Amino acid sequence: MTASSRLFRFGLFPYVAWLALFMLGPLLFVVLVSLQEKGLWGGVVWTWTSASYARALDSLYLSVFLSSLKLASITALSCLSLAFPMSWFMATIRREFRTVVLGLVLMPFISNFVVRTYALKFLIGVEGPLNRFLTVLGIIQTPLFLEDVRVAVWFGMVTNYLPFMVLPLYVALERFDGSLIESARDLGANSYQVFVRVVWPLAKPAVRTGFMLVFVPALGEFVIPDLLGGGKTMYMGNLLSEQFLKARDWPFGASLCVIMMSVVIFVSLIFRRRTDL
Amino acid sequence: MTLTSVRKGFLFACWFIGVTLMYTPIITLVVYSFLSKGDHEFGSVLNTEAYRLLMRDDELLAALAKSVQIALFSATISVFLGGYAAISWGRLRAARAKSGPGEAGRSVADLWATVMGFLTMLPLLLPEIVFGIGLLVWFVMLRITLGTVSLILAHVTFAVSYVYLTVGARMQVIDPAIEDAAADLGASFGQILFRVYIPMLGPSLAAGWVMAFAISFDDFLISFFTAGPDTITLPLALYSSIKFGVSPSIFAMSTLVFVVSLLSATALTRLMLMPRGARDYK
Repeated sequence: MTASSRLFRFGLFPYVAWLALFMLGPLLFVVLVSLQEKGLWGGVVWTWTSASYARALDSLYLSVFLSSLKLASITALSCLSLAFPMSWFMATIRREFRTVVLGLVLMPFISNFVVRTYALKFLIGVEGPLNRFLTVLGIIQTPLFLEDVRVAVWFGMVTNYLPFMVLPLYVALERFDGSLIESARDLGANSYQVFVRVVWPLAKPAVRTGFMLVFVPALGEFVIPDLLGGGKTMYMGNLLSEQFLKARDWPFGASLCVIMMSVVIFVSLIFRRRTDL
Repeated sequence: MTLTSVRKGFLFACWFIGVTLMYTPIITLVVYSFLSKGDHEFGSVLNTEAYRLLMRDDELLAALAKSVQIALFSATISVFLGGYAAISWGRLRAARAKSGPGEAGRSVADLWATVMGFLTMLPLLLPEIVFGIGLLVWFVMLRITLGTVSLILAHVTFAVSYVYLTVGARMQVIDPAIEDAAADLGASFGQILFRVYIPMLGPSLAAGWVMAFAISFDDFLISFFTAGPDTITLPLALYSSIKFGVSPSIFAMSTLVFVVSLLSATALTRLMLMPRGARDYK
């Protein structure tokens, strides 16, 4: 062992130390804070208590959890149902076009998502171009998305998270062996059977990956609901950030954080365990 | 035959709808940045008024400068940390492949593999907001003032894995015998680093730096919690200005940033896809 090779060995330490200090440390600290008492003017009083968890289980907050879970699941499922045929198309066209269509799907990624949401809000707003255009054409009388902001939120979520679903599906379907479909057909399978018994089982790992890639960030999303929902809807993300930035109730906010982490870990465990899903 | 074409048409329609949905906001931005009418309105006449407004918008320009500053620092620190770790891990991996099962070196390498894998994948496993809030309470507890420094610390944490993965992928195809040869010929640590590894890893280090820059420049959620009241990056400025309604200068700024990002992404793709031979002997 030379002196230089020992110096090269050190390379892992700063990296691991940094991530332990600024990634693992904060996570564990959140768990710790969630079990403490709230200070009078924000901050934490270091006394062990589970009061925050008791409060988080109130039916008021449970309904917020449920609407977040619902939004994240609906977003992931909507993305899946649109992304599957999209990726199928991208994976089956002629090879030289594939890079182009893939590039087209990836390009929106490089624009900032706050900006995209901003533009979307402007576009579908009551006075926005879309509503004015449709009104002029006489297609609608009352502005779209005015009555039910949840539709606007859903729309914003799907447009934002779609690429996360397309990528893993495209990678899986591009590698898909087309001769499997031919053999299934030769053995007398119809289109439905080919899909359910050949394509879907082989695409399942990618579906699972895509689902988690959309579901995890969607569960904590608060910018899109905040901007497109106009503050009329409360989701876990809004509730969480308010505890830290407005209400200054750290232990309660931390307990909400821990509950959110548990939900995500629980869902990923189900996905890993149940291979038949 | 007709069934096949119907199916193909359906698949294309789905793809088209998806792509249209993704592009609508971007096209809106670009088009309306040329349709401004006054400070807070949009008309139907093409003009560059929005860009002139942007030049006078000191707050927005200051936010841009802040974002660039933070991204420069974050990307550079990330490349040092992530690149160094990737070189070390690449060497350890090569040694592990050579040693048989049950040997001492092997179990050490296996332990590191688990730790590195876990830390690198962790940000993908949990919602970003959890990390943002965690860092906020962590910084306050450690008495690190929320501002430029806390933002750089936070951004490096989330950008460094990308550098590590990019450089690490390149390390996999580098023959460890090259380093042995250099060491046998008496090269010091610095000489091996600067004359063996850095030239060979050059493109991947550059790609990692650009990626880290983009992650930092684009980040909203982590910054939202760790910026403090007085440090305003571009995404934060955009977010807070939405509350006061739309403004053409924001559309102009976003369009410019989008064009610059597009050009850098193209350059980055070129860099990553450069033919093997050209890359090896550069």
